[in-house]
Parts: sequence; structure tokens; C-alpha cells
Amino acid sequence: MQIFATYTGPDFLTFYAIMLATSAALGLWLPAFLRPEGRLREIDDPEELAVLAGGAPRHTLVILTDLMVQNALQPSGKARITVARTSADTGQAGAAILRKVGAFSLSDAARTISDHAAAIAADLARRGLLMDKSEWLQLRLFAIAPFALLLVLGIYRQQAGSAVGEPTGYLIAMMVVTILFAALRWGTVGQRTRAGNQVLTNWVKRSSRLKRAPQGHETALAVGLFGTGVLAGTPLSHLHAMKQAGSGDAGSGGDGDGGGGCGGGCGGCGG
Amino acid sequence: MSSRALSLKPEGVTASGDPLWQRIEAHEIGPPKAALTFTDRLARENRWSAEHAARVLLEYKRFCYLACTAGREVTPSDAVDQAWHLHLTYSRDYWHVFCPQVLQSDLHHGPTDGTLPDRTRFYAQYADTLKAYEDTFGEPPPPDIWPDARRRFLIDPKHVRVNPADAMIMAWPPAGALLLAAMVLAALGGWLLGGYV
Repeated sequence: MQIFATYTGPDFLTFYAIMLATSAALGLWLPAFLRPEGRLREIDDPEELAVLAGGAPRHTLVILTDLMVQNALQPSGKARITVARTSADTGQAGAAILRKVGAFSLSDAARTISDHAAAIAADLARRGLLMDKSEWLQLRLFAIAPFALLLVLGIYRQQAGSAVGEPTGYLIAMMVVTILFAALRWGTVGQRTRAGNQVLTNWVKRSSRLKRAPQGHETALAVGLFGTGVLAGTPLSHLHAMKQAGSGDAGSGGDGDGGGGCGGGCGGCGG
Repeated sequence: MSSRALSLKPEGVTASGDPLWQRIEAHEIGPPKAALTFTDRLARENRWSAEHAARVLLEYKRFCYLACTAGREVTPSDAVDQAWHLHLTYSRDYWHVFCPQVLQSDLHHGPTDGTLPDRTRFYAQYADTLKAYEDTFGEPPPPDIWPDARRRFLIDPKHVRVNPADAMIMAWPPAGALLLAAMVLAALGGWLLGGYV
């Protein structure tokens, strides 16, 4: 550490900025390099694909989409949903939603079926498509380790500088940026193994049409793979708008004032 | 989750050897020696390149094939619809040659009535059309000509007819940057004036 004592404030800030960029690169490279291989096996269940692609939140959206396609759920105001009929072609998670009484929000629905999503995630981990929780934690720690080391260095220099009366405001600001980068990286390291990534990539490659305009019975699968963005412009666009409103994301939801369309068929009239 | 079967695999290429497709593919709309051909006019009216207009024409022909073979009503993308609209204005070709001799049946055009059930129906038809396209031609429709539902049903219907002699037209990204620059300049000007007045 003696070497940093010879650095002037601007020298150290330059060094810190270079190390921050290096840490960001390492934070991306390390998880990519250390990600476990897993075991490649194809899956085609929309619930499993949803958990693989987007975890429990995506699973909830898939279940709600599937039930809405079957008209078993309907919107209730802008932010809530109600059960329209209690019978539908659905699994255990869907049945749990259909047992709900009164209007409920997306987060209510997520809580109701969180155990189902957790069970699917555990199963995918056993089959080598997701990391188990300890592996995932380890990978995320590796991803933020460069930022943590840099932060320790920054704290050391800040303490030393402040002890001799140097201004350290810029350094503190850069340390805050370091913490933000680390938090961002912590939240964005995915749980999938390399095999899990491959399975998802294969599905995305062959689902170009689904991403644009899924048929009714394909809608849940499309939401599982791509999120509710695929619902914009469809009869279920209110679910996308609800999700966007709940997450606070800017987006393209809502019905808008569209209404275009033309149709035709031999011997028939399109509209 | 429901137990309904899902298959994303195209169900087989069926168009290439079909005489109907061969007739549609070979059909030339309008006089081939015209100073302004059908493709030229399509490009000019939509501000497309000649190459893009030619691709849209091919997609229109594929759409016509689907309209005759899908067994249900089909819905085009906006770009394909523009080709269809233009073809309808070549009414002698459309009604006296294309429908009776090429398609060997009538192909009517019907716009939406604007109601919610109708919009729902047209979305379902659009999704079915993309699936039928994939099954028939063995590949997904090109995304720049057959866009997603958001583009098709929320953005494309906002098209209006504008004469560039009457209005200034500017694409969004530079227009947004110019607007931002104007706001910054106005704020700067206000700040400077505020300091001196």
C-alpha cells in the first residue's frame, strides 16, 4: 500500500477509474468463465421454460396468461384480476390461483404460487439447467469480488487522505458508483447453467413467430420465453400494462387507440 | 398448465410444387413496360427502396396464396396490405385477370369495423396467418415485413396520408435530438437573460 502514498489525489482518481473499468470487465467475465456446465436436456413445458427464463416472477405471468387465454380470469380495474370461472385446463399452480376469492394483484398471485415456482426451480437445478442456491451465491460473490476489493482500496486511500486533510469528495463519489455497479452486477448474474442458457437460446432461435404474434394456445409459452412484452397489441395487452405499472418500467403497454386490420379469404370477406 | 399440445415445427413446405403458387408467382401486375411499374409505384407511395418494394410484392403474393389455401380468413401485415390496396386500384388486372385466372376465386378485402371484438378477431387472424405462413413456406415470415402485434395493431394503424408540400416531415430520432437541443438552448437563453435583465 506504500505505493499509493506517493499518488497525488488526481493520480489516484485516475488509477481508481481504470480499476473500476477493469472490475466491471472482470465482473462480466468471471461469471461467464466460471458458470457451471450443467447437463443439456431439452424441455418444452411452458412453466419450466418460464422459471428457466425469468424465475418466479415470469412463472406467475405464465400462469395468469394461460388462465386469461381460457377466459378463467378477467381484469378488475387497472391493477387487479378476478376469477371469472373456477374450471380450466390447468395444473396445480393454476388451480391455486382459481381458488382465490375477490380481486387480487400480480404480487398477490405471485405469493400464492411461489412454492410451485420454487419447486420447479429446484427440479431444474437437479436436472442441471439451473445452479443450486449455493452455486449461484458463489458465482454472484465472484462477480462482485473485484468491486469489493476496489472498494477496500478506496476506503484505505480515503481514510489516509482525510487524515492529512486532503479533499476526498470525488473519491467518495466514485466509491458510491462502485457500490452501484456491484449491486447491479449482483442482481443480474443469472441462475442458469451453460446448458440452461443453451436450452433457452435454442427456444428463442426457433420462436421468432411466437415473439411477434402467438396463437391463443401458444401465448403462455411466448410470455414464458419473452415476457409480457409479446402481449402488447394483443387482446391480453392489459396484463402487460399491469405488469409494467407494477414494476415501474417504462414500456409500450396498453391498448392504445389502434384498431387497424384487414382480412380476406377466397370467397369470403374479411370484416 | 394446460395439456394442449404445442408444436413450433413448420408442418411442411407445400407451396413450391403447387400450380396455384406457380401462377401467383409468375403473375405480373400491370403493364411490364410501363414507365412507372407496379413495384415502382409501391416504392414511391411508401417511400421504400425498389428492393424493399420487390420483397413486399413477393410477400403479398405469398399472402394471396395463403388466403386461398389456409382454409380460413387471413390478415396481412401493414406493408402487405399496402401492396394489396395498390393492386385493388389496378382493378382490371385484379378483377379480370388475377382473381379469375390466377387465383381462380374471388379475394375480397375487408377492413376492420373498429370494435373491440373485431380487433380481437383480427389479432387472432394475424397470428393464424403467421403460423400458416411458417407451415406453408417452411420459414418464419420476415420480421421487417411481418412485424410483431404491437407494431401491427398499435403503431401501423396511425399511418396518415401527408403531402410533403404541405408539411415538414422528420424521422423521430433527429427530431427528438433537435427538440432536446432547442429546449437546452431556450433554458440557457432564459438563464442568461435572467442574469442580465
